[in-house]
Amino acid sequence: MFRRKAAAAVALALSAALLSSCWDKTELNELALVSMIGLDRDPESGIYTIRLQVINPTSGSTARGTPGGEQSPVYTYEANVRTLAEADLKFYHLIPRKLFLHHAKAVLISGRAARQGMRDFINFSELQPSARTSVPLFVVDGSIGEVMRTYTPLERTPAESLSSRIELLADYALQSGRDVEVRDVIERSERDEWIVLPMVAVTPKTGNLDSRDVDASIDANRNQLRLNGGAVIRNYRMVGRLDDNELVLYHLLNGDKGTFVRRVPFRNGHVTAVLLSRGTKRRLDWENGRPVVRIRLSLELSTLAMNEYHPRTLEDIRALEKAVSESITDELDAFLDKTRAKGWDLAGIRSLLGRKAPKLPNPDRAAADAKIRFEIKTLFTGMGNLSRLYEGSGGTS
Amino acid sequence: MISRGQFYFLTVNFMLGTTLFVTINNMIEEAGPDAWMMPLWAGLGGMLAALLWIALLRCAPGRSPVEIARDAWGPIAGLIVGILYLLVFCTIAAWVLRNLSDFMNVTIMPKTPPTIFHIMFLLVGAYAVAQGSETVGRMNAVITPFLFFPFWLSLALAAEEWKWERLEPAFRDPWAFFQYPSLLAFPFLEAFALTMFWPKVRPGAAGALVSGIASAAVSLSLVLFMVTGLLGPERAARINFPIYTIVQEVSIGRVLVIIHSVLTVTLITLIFVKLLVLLYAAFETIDRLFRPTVRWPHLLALAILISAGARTVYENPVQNRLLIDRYLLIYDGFYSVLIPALLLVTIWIRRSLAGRARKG
Repeated sequence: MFRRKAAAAVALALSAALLSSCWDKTELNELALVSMIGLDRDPESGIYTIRLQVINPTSGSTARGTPGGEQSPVYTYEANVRTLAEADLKFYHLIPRKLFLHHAKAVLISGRAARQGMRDFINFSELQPSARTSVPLFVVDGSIGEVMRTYTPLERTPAESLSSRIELLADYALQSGRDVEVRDVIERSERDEWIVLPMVAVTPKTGNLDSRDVDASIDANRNQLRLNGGAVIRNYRMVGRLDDNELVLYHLLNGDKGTFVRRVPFRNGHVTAVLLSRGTKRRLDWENGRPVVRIRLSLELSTLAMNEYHPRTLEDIRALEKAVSESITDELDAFLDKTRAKGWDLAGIRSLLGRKAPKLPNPDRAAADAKIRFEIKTLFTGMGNLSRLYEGSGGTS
Repeated sequence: MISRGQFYFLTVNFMLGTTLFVTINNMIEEAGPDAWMMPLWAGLGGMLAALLWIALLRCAPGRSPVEIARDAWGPIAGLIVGILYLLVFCTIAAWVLRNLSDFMNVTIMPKTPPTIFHIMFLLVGAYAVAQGSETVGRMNAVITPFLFFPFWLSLALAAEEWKWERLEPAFRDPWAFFQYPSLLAFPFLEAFALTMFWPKVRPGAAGALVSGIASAAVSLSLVLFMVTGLLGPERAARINFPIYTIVQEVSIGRVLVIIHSVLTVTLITLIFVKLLVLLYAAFETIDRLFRPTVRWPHLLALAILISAGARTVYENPVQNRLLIDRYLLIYDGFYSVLIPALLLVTIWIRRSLAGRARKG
């Protein structure tokens, strides 16, 4: 009996050692929490520059004068290396804590590295079990070094500021979407699809930039980061750019859901329409051996921002809905003509053919020949807080 | 005696054990978006094999395959077959342990020496096995809900990433399984180890075994379906542990980012169940062959043998994959199909001869 009890006690005691994982223990105060990663490669010398923005744990959102209040909320470390694996080692010349990448909120890649191709970075990242690829990827317009050394107002870390902005832009401007993460770049590139990533740039700078002095300045348009257009990526390589207006159309085509605003021609003038995109559906048909892709878009229209006009009758509503549908169709047609002329397949026609007609002999040719028709359904659903606009003469429209 | 329900859960968990992270990416690489069909074919094959084992076991109620071999082929050939089975169970147990330590070393515990995982699992496993089949069966039945719900919940949390496009073009290669038949060996033919439990299960275990194999095949198919829809065949075919990656990429709101440890615990517990069954099978084989009066000395010897085997069974994951692809079907087919089939034939011939003698 005693022997059995002793054996049980020994087994339990030994399993306790397994549970606590003595070799791989990590204490929070021994970790360097990386919040933003910056990737760059000099195309001439082939030297990689990796920058890590590490959260400073002693700086809280404390008032000035308290301990830690004057410290930088993040520190940017930089390593120049010949191979990516060296970066880890180089950083330990500078960082006294174990690097922890799980919590990274944003990955930035310089424009020149993106143009050259980012496959090597991505392969390296996917090889590391500790790195998540469900992190938004930004392409830097301008100097990545400067971006990595710029504070952002309101949010404690620039990474949080950027990731929060792309969410807001997706919800309220449709200038960003859900598919802007590293894993989306992998998936789209492997499927030979196109993807557009947000671009980030530095706004004009004044004053002493390397200190926290910028906090004291009231002008928040200066000395910070700005999201600026989109980088068109194909096969892990940046091939062009979209401006903010084209970004809306791209995300509309891509089936992203969000609100956006459009000025629409209507009855000899213009009206401002607030539109909510409810996603797209694609259908593939054939006409005389030529593929015809019908893209069905459903939009919800609100007069929330329509200070020019207010529909009163059912006819008014139908006319307004029709005007919106026609205007968006025109814009999308023009956008597709422009991008397809450059050889960009932003509507994903090639991939649709690959999925729906996998036995097609020459899918690239068919995709280029494909006709695209939009079927836009606009439904008036919401309005603001006025049932009739004020009609005094002191307006512009 | 263990109940039919306990035997059923033991069968399901045994099958899922290491399969959930060893072959998922291989299957998706072979069959692309249609990978979810492969386990269904393999499960069908596994059920046929199980019917063979059941036919054999029904010839001699209350006897395990090791004893049936001794009865049919005499003491010397029976001993050789018994020792072969002992070695097979030990090899697979070592294999399972090595898969486990590989997974742990690659994912969350890179610095812990693999032997620690092996020895700890073996010690705890040996303790459970020493208590007998009831302990193993009951323990497994108790933990099953704690594996089932967290596993499917953590996959369900990822459902936000679901895209039907990733499963297209569908039904292009439904026969892909037949180009990759090693899936039948691993895990379905390995279920032969469960026949060592047979004499300890209440009557009517055949249904539990066959439906257990069917349930495991359906679960695997569902897992593959979800992995393809959540990661896309391109990434899922390349990532070593796709299920882990899916859960790793899940974030609940902005705060709960690291929930994959939940999944890790589920997976290693499933592997523990597989190890338990194999260890029990090896232990029971020794018991039936030599009838020792003690339990612990040879159990410890088994633990030492298996932990040594775990270090040497293969050198690296690439070898692991080659072993599975090229040799496992032949290896598993030999002990789980050929030997049982020969035994069955011997028994039938003997019986018909005996019947004729009686008539004559």
